[in-house]
Amino acid sequence: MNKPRNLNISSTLSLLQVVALLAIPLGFVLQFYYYPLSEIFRVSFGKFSTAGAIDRQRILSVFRFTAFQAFLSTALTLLFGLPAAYIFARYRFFGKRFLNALFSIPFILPTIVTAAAFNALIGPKGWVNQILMQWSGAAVPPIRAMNTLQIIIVAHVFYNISVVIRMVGTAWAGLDTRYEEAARVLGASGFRSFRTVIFPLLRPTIQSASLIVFLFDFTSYGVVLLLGGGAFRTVEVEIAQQALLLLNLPMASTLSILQLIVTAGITLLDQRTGKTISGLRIPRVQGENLRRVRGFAARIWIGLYLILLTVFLGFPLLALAVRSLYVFPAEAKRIGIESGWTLAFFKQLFINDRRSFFYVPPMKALWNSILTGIATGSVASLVSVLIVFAETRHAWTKKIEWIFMLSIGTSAVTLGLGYLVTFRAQLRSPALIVAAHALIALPFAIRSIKPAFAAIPPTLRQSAAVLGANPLKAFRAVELPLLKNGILNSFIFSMTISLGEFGASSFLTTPERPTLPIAIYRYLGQPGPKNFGQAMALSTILLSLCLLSIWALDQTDKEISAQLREQ
Amino acid sequence: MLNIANLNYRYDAELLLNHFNCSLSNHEVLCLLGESGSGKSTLLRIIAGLEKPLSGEIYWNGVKINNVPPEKRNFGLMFQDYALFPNRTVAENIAFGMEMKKGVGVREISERVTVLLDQIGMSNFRNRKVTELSGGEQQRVALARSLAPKPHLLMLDEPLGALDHALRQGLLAELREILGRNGIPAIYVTHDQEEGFSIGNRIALLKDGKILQSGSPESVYRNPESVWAARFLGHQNICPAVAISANKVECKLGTRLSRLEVQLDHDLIVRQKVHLLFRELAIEDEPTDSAYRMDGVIKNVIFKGFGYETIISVGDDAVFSVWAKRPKTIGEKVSIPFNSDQISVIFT
Repeated sequence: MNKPRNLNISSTLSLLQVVALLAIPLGFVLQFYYYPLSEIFRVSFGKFSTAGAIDRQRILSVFRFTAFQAFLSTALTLLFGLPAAYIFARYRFFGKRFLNALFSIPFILPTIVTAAAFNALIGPKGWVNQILMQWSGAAVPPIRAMNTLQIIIVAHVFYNISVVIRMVGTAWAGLDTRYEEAARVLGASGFRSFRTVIFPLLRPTIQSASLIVFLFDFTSYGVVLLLGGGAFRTVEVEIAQQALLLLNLPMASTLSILQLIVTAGITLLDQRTGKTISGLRIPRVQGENLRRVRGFAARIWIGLYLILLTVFLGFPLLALAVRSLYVFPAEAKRIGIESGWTLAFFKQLFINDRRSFFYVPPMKALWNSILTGIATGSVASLVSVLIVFAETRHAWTKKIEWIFMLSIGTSAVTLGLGYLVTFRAQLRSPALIVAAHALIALPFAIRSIKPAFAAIPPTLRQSAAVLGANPLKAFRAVELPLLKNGILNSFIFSMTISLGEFGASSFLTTPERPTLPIAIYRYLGQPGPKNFGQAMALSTILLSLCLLSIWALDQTDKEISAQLREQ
Repeated sequence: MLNIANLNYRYDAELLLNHFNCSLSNHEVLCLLGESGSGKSTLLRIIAGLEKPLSGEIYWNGVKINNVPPEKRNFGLMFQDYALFPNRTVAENIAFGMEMKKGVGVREISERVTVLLDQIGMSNFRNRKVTELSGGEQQRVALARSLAPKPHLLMLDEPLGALDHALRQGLLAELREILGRNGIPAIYVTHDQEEGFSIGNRIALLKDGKILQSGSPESVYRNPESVWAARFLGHQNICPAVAISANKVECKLGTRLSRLEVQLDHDLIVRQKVHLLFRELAIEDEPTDSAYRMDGVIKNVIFKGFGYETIISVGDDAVFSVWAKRPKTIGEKVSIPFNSDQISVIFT
């Protein structure tokens, strides 16, 4: 309708509408993303940066270690993830849906919960060590897994393996089994048919999954900080250390910029390889590619593999939940409660212990997190509704969507640093955390609202208009009720991100107003069984909240896809 | 050469192959005809080694091959939707089977690809991507790919199933010519009887997991073993009858009861219930000296290019389809002439 060549009244109006719609979103990202980012550049290259502040040798070694551990983690994630992707893509077996759900939990968990879960399992106060100590009567934990490179890598594999299983598994499931069967009949052995036919077809997806996993491993913060115990420094950890402990902002900023360059490079690489996936044929009948597990050897290896993965991915979580409810005899004496099953750790959360290093009862942290989460969900949903609404009414605005999505490649620590150098005066304001969380959540909020808008046929709006409703009334009367699920979806998603967010929060949280992850982090860093128990209890609460929101997201997703199908 | 004994296969609760027996000799093209879902494709997959049977044996030249993996059998299998490798060009697809063999040189492969591309008339498609090909072109490349490693046996699973009618006719002739020239024994699976008759030296009807009937296309068509087989092969003119002597039957054709003489190798048992199949019925314009006639009323006339299919109701129950050179008017009364040699007796 609108011809860009002659700017008539309607297109001027349309431009005004877009400006009105996008004023808040643009203002938001400019103020809370682009401005802090530019400040980082200013600090790095500006007059504050003295020659002595930047330690080149240090930067080099930090980057070398970060890349090394990311390579190792990615390689192992692939090694263990690919067989699982194959099993999920090609076989039908009992409990498949359950395992599929279980295997994707670690990815959605906050890093702080992952760290707490590994502590609960094999940390010095974890199950394995406590039981071994009870058996042998040893005074020191026999297994020293914490503060090693190994545990960092294991944790990375733990929460990234579902990326490989999901991405590669989906692509593999879409590859017709007849490709490999045709190869077999033509004389290729099982392995050779994989190498010559299946692997080349899967390669773009494997590449893309590897790059994403590498990106996560490269920008890993919470896990390295908590499980590495300060001995290992990835770029993220180093940025935080330089900024928060050494107060060397130019160094931190320089690291941030280099980190941005690397992540931007990886994202670009991913987008280029990602394109080749399309154009493959998909099977016509659903489930056609699936077969049962037949034969002794297949049953053994597939069964064992799934059991091992279930143990690896399920046990840390189980250990965490159970550890928050159990006191070992050795601990019982020191904290003055009876050993065995107990709710003591949860009860203590409400008490403001004077000897504690907190100014507030730990339960306050949960309250703070929930408030922050609600505020984050509201801001992110409002902003993304405005953006997506503008896109449905004025299609050209899709071209500037990247302005709002760019933050996806920026690490939370970098964002925290940006706020630190930009909003020095308002650093104690809780609004700053909400802004940071909403910004991190924004790309995901946009993505979860889009399907809901897509599920509304445009004819619905047009018929409302024909019936005399003005655009605003049409939106309120027709679209808003149908968008309910989508908005709810983005709200829950954003809230969940906020609940578990650790990187930016560690820059912006004040001691008297901790969030849940920050409280867990502090408890884990303190000695004594009581602090450990508190950390377990708080982590279990956070874990439950995350599981609850995954479930809720699943419900709204189902409703949206049902709505899409009805069309 | 190929011998299959007592094969059983079950998919979920459904028995797809039930004590299936079959054999194939040199240079033979066997066409397996069956309804969709009757286990034809499964049989091919079992012969190829892609699927394991529940029980039963497969022999090749007297050697049991049940446990030989598919890549060691040197059988070709052409899939219904071709399964061309999308990451390879036309030539690379055709070369795949030869690349898998040990000691086949690059030159030899390239020469064979050239010969095959020539055979399928696609010489200038050598370096094209297979994703850019039309359905018919894909089908040809798939055939060439199956033939390239010179398989001992070629199996084709509804190879023309995905193509439109006009293309089918052309490719069918081509396929028959290529199969004949390469002299490879083949099993051709289809649900289309017309396709089956034109490609197979031998036809086998698959029903309930077994071969119901097999023989030359002519003999199977003329003497179907059951009413189901007759209907599946496209026969419509069937009516029940009762034997009244060794070579005479009685049946109700129209208003009157007819006593017909039939030609059989063996005697009928009196009072035996059978079905009669009337073949090649036609209405002649000039009176002919046929032995019998049946009266009916024209129900419908369908123009079929080379004649008119005339639907005639004979009596109250029977509706026959009869050829006529000229169109008749609906409602017109006609009498259809026929002889004993146009009648087949169906015993089941």
